[in-house]
Amino acid sequence: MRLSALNHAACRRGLRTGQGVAEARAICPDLDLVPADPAADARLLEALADWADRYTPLVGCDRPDGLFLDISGCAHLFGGERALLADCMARLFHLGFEAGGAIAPNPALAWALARHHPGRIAAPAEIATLMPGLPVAALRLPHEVTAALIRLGLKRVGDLVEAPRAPLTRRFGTALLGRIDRMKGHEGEPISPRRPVADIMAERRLAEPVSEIEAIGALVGRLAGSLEESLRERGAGVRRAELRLFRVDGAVRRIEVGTARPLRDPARLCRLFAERLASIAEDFDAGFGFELIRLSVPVFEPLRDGQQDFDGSDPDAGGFHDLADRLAARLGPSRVLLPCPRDSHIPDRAMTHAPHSSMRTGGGTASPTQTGWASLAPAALAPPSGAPRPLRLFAHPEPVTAVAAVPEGPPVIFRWRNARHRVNRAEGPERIAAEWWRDGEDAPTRDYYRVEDEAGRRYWLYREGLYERETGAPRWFLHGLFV
Amino acid sequence: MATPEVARGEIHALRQVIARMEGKEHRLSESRAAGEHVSCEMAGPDRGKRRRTRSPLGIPAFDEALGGGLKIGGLTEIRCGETRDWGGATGFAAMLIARLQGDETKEQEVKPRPVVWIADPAARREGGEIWLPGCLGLLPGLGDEGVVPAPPLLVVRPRNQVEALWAAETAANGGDIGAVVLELRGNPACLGLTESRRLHFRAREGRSPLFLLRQSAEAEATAAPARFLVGPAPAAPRMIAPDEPLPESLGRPALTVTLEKSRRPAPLSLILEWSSHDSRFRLRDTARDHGTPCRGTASAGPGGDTGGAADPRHLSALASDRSDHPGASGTRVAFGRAS
Repeated sequence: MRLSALNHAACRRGLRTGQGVAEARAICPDLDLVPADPAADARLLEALADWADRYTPLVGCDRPDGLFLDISGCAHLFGGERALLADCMARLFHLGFEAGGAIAPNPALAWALARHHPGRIAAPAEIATLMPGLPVAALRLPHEVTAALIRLGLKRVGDLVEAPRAPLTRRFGTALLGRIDRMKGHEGEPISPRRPVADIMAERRLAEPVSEIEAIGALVGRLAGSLEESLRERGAGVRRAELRLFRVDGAVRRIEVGTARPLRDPARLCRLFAERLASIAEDFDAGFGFELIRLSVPVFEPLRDGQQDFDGSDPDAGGFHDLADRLAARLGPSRVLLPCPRDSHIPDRAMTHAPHSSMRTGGGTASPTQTGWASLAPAALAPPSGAPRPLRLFAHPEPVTAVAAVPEGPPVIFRWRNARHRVNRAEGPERIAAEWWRDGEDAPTRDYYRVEDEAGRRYWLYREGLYERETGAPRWFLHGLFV
Repeated sequence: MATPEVARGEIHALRQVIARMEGKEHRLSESRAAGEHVSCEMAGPDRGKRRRTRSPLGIPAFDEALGGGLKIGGLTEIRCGETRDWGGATGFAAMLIARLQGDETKEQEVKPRPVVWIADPAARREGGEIWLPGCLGLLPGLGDEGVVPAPPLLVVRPRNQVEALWAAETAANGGDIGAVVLELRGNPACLGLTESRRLHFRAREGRSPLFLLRQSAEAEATAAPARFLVGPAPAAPRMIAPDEPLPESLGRPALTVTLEKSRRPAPLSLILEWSSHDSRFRLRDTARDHGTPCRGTASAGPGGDTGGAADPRHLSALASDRSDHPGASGTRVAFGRAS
């Protein structure tokens, strides 16, 4: 067991990270030890990254203890780079973090400055003067390499910049010079943002935090109104919209809604968010209120302006998709489904349900859908034999005990859910072979019967396994109910 | 208050007994049916010019009891007493939707509109899922050739019954849809008289039919103007020639449908057959039914099991079956909240 992190008091007592626990206890008997929890640290860093979204949408996590913010083009919104850095550091301090920050022309130099000269803002011209004074640890190299460099007496970055490159590469690999080139700005270093950056967004900073859901709904309406113009310019409509609520204490709540068709109308977008907010109202914790609200559109699609069909009918089919979107916003997209047939003759697999919002549309144009109902021609639904199908299908066929007059004949009596049913008439069998390419060679064949009991109820029963060819004792199942 | 009705029912039953003795029962019921049908047709066209508010089922006795047909915007309740009758209840709902939309698409030449099907998780677990291949010939827009122009069915699977009610309310008032079906199991506490009235008003505002499909539920006071109880009935045999049935075969589906709540003071029970190719109900032709090789006792639905296989229309005229009648002690339904 070793120490992984220390506070200031422990450092002053002469403890170091990486020290054994026994040794640390010997130095400082009243040491307070807490087990390290890297997963929780990572979560905290993620939450902080969410919080840092208030400055720029391009935030990258630098595990275990850093964040990269690409503030190109954002600084002026906060009154310049110096004001932005000061604001960021002050807010972090009030959230209870001890943080160091720096602004530099490239990520490598910013990383080094934040750790070794916190608060520094470096202009591009200063790179050459700042770099030589930094310690080699600022190069973000593996510990062994850093230790080896220090042993050789190369303690400053300046020592490496002037040294011949070929022997360095031979001894320490290409990573070392790569780091130096990145710090000089000769080689680019990308920051990978945690989420795709939305092209279209609108946000509102609030002088007075809001916490009521109704007030948030009203603000969403205004934000949606301001998005409408930029959507119109692009000729686009929203397919997915994301609302971020930045709480005063740093927590960030993300709320998403999806639509089945591109949508531009602010009122309808606002209504979708109202449904979504109503559905989470129970566990909605506003804390001390939200101080920043941002509405972004990560996914949009071309939306052609209101051209109607020749027969005068609206392609939106009279608000049906709007209704489905609202249902999906409240209940969740996986609960509002369209049936889609699949290419299988096993009844359990012949039909699946796909979320309505995942339906692919031609972006408001007249192009037909590739998936979904377009393939719902009767031919795709009816079995080739033309045999009737039940209206109700059990997701899991229910085992029944059945007695047949002959082993390969229809049942005479069967017992389902503890009720005895005497079969009056039976039609069948309809033999459905197993799909050997999925279920294996010895999957049993099913013989389906459509039977009617004495009262006149009609059931869909099947016998699993062919008598004597596949099994000695076939089992019976009830799979569906007919009209 | 129901005594004149009961007397009328008794007289009718006696008349039928006499008619059966004389062997002209078939003709009697047919002439009655034809007469009523004509009167319905007469009333139809001038109403069709304006926005129709009612859609006839094509069964004169039912249409008369419903005041001209099923209300288009509003709540209609369909229940089945046992879970195993669930297939029949579902089928009856689909048939009613087919009737409603069939008339509409023919008259106004519009495309069939999608149906929103909302299923409570308990009902799904016990009675299975609605399965589209089984809806061929039932739901509108599935029986035609070629490609279906719009999604025929939107399946909504809420987490609980309260969400199901919310979804039904939203859908009934929401958009241009063919019908809303709300499946519920039993008599949940969250659907009282107030809630059902709310659903009824929403459906009326939205002008979309809302079917409350209740699985193994008791009769309960709701705001629905009509309530049907669906029970089993043996299917008609397949016909190989106009008068030659194929023995031991299962042809057109049949149901025992009891109109429990309507303008009529007494419930009305009929055996209906569904012919899918013209989307029409047909009254079970009882005279022919005797000749079928149906071995079972042709048990009519609840309350109708009194006199063998006679026309079941007027046999279940028992006033005690009505929901308004005070039930036995212990089965108070929505008593304190009817305000």
